[in-house]
Amino acid sequence: MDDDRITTSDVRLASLLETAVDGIIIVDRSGTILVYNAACERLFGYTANEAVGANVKLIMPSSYADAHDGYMESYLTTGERKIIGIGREVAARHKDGTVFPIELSVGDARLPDQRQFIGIMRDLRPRMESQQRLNDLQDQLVHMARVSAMDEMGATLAHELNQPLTAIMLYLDALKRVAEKPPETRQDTGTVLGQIVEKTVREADRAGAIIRRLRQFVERKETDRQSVDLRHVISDAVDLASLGARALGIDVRVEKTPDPIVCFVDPIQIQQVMINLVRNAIDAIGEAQCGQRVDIACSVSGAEAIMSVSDDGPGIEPAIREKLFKAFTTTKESGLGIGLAIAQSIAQNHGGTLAAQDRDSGSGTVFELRLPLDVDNASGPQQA
Amino acid sequence: MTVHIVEDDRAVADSLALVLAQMGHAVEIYNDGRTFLQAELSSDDKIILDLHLPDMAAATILSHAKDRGTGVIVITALGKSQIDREIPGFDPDRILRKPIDPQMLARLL
Repeated sequence: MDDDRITTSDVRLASLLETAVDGIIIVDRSGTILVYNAACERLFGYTANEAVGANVKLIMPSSYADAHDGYMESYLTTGERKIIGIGREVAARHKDGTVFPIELSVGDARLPDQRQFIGIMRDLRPRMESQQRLNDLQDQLVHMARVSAMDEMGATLAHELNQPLTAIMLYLDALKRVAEKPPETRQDTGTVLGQIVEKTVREADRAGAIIRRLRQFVERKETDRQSVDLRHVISDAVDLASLGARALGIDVRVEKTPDPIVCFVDPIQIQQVMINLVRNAIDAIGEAQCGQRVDIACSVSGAEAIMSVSDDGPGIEPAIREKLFKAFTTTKESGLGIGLAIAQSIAQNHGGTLAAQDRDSGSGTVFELRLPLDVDNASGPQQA
Repeated sequence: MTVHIVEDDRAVADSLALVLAQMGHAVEIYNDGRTFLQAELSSDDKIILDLHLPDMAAATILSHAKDRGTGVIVITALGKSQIDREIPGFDPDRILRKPIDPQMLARLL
């Protein structure tokens, strides 16, 4: 008998199984485990002694295990491949009950007297963890750019809050003066007081609205995509971004769009892009001291929504244009120069594009943000 | 004497006018520089000027006022460096930073 003779190829096979980083299992047509390598012991927690002879369902979550006999039966009778020679991502189960994702490829070994199946398995958790870490980092970067954008607006925000605060203090002073007047000199005091109080409240609301909008924009939130009407996103963004523009003599206008334009997006991130574009336009005009208008429009072309921000400033220098969307490119005295790089990555993450071109007439630049329309909810968003 | 308020922020202008009226002053409001330049001024009038008007440099208003011998109080929310750039040499005692203290304003008038 040559059963006891250890051949060179047996040694090679044993060493291959022990060395492999991936889990390797061989099962017969009933699903009984025949070979179970060292990597499998690490992957599933069962020793080879425990696993060999058991059914392969041992390392499957119950949802798969229940269907597995059916899968094998179906393949053996029809030859229809669900996994063999294809490979796919499936769930596996550790001895301690943990269910985790693996990439599984299965081969069919047709021996003269029987069929065996070889499974090669790789733990997908490390890959997914690094993907998750990458996503988290990107989220943090996007958020940082948002905070930095508001940071750069700090002086403007202080100025904008100062106005209602000034008005409130003066109204209250006027109120005090009216109230302190001797009764005989008062005329309609009740009405006058009421009117002043009303105006004071209005100014307090104005200050509150600035803070609320700012907070909504800067606070950290999970990425949250939803069907939104871009008209609302634009008007919120422009309200915040155009603060202080009037004092510079710059007219920021949003073209009226009669019908809803609905996209499935993270509204805060799209707001971030729009704020970035509008602030850039205002800065471009303000620094060059030429031009006076920023126009924002939104339209539909085919299956895309197009949001545009155009200014009549000096335009972009050719040397800057080439690296416009690269991080750390800036012509400003302050700021990191990451705004447009982040804006473009947000556009791309949403399946869209962001591009700049010269204005058709006169000097100036047009930025166009294109996003795929949410055709399922074209009639109107669930939420504004 | 009339106090002329040149201020583009309508609420600030309105609240200022209200306080000044309570102090017993006659008040006129102008929301931009151009409208103000058409106003009748006399030498005992006073001007309260917001430093940052959308349509006109503050210096233009200042020289207009100087020609007519009318005193100016500047109000602003801008920082010191911007004030120095816009109106270099202007008497700092006649500049009120926002938010404005009404007592200070009364004293300057």
